Amino acid sequence: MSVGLSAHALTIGYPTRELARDISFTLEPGSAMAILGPNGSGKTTLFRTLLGLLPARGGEVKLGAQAIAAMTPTDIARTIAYVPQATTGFFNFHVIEVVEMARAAHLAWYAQPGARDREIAMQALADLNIRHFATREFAELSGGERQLVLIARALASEARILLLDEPTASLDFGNQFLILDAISRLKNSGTAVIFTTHNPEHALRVCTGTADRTLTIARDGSIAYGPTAALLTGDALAALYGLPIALVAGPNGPLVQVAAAAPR
Amino acid sequence: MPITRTTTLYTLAIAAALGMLALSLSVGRFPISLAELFSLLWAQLTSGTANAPANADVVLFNIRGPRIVAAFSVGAALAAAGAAYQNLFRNPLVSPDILGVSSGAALGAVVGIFVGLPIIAIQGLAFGGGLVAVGFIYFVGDRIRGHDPVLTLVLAGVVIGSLLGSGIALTKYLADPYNQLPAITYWLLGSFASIAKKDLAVALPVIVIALLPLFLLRWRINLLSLPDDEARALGLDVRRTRFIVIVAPTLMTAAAVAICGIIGWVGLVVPHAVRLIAGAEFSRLLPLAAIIGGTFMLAIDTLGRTMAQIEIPPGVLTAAVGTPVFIWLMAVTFRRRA
Repeated sequence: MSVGLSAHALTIGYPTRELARDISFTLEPGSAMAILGPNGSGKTTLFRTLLGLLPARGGEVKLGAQAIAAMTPTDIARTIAYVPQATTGFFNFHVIEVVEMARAAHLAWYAQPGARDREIAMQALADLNIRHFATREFAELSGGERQLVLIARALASEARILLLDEPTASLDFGNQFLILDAISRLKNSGTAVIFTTHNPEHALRVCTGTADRTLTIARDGSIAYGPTAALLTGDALAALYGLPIALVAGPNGPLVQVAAAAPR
Repeated sequence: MPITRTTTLYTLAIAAALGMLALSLSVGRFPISLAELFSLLWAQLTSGTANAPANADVVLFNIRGPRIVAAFSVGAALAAAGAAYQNLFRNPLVSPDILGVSSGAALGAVVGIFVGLPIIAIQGLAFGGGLVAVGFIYFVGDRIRGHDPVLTLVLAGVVIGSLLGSGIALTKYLADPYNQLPAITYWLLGSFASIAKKDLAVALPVIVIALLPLFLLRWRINLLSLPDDEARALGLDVRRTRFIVIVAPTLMTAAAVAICGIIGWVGLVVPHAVRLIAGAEFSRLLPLAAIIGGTFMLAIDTLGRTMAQIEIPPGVLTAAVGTPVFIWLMAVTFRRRA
């Protein structure tokens, strides 16, 4: 069953404060959507709303024909997986133990993961070519490796939709592309992926398919949505970030250039 | 963690517990040899006669036995409670006292002594005081929404805990310095010396029943150590799980404190040490912490009643042993993380 995730005239925010309104998008299986916006524009709030952790202030989020608001947290967790930014965590778990946590939505409240859950977790690691991490300690991995493990955890939940919160933030240059390529591979294997990023080039690199989209949230809460290359023009980026930005053609796609910033 | 290593750890912990149990049953002012010990136990099981000195059975089953069962189960309860709280508060340096269960129980007991109530009422006040203190702190933390709920709980716990502490101080100040004050001080230091079978009859079932939900939730409690959003996105009912993981350790700790007074350190040091050895995974941590916590408490109590002419309160010994061990552990872990 392939159901996409869609938002319909969604308004996001907290009881006392609205952050953005009129968010509408459709994400098909096997496609990607990048979300760009300055700090504080509501990217994380949008994620929390899509995950059903925060009620929408208006509009609705749908999985196929079903409204998220009518689903149980367990059902949502089996369908949409959240990949947080990689931190070291509070305790030093082994990698396999971190990945197995994804099985919570598939297990009874008193149950522990069994052989089949272990198998699914190992397969998720193998899908990302990090099977050999299984017995290592999570805190001892590098930032990029930890991010891969958290993506593997999302895969182990057997969710068809992945929400990645700034997966390349705080990673070194090489690790950023390791993660971007992993996202592209997931997309090509049929998973629907939404990721937030601060780098327009990352959106342009991953969202190259005909069904791929980009959503931008400006500081004032205004929304733009469309095919990535059409949406992310120099002028649009300049308006989004308040900087003199131009796109120049590079050998592998457009490159973002920022002229010396005028003092704001 | 490889399965073989886990099995080894369990085997070692159980062997240490059984060894400590046998040692503790045999040593004391009325020594009972191992042969006599087994003979007595066998006789008890088969209702036969034992090959042991007169009164050995009284010492074993009415005096030393209950005390040993109490020390072991209190140690196990405190270590299990500490392990759960450390996960709940995402902090390896948290003890079961953080939500005020010990201060609440202490205030209840101290007031009971001050007013001159019988022992059973003092125990009841201690148990109730612990529950009321945690209930109040949970209520305050739950009311103040919109902020990190764990941090709110900790802050409420610290503030209300210090209020309870000043209540204890006031009662001590007002207490009769010749009769009540020594009794209060004695209670605050903790002791297994006066444990009788009837104390266990109530406290032990409470501890066992409260351990059950923790044991059943042992794997899911791992997810509580994640940020709330992450745990909820993984499908955990964070609020309900957190509630259970506050209530069960509170019941265990309140029951323990009610029969033997304040025992510090076990709930802090033992789970922390076990996590260093066995890893953080809670379904492995919980049983190991309980077994090792019980063994540690039993060792402390056995030491306390045999090393000197007078009994050394476990509260003093756990701190004396616990402080250097804890500083060493802190140094080792934090240096490794750096």
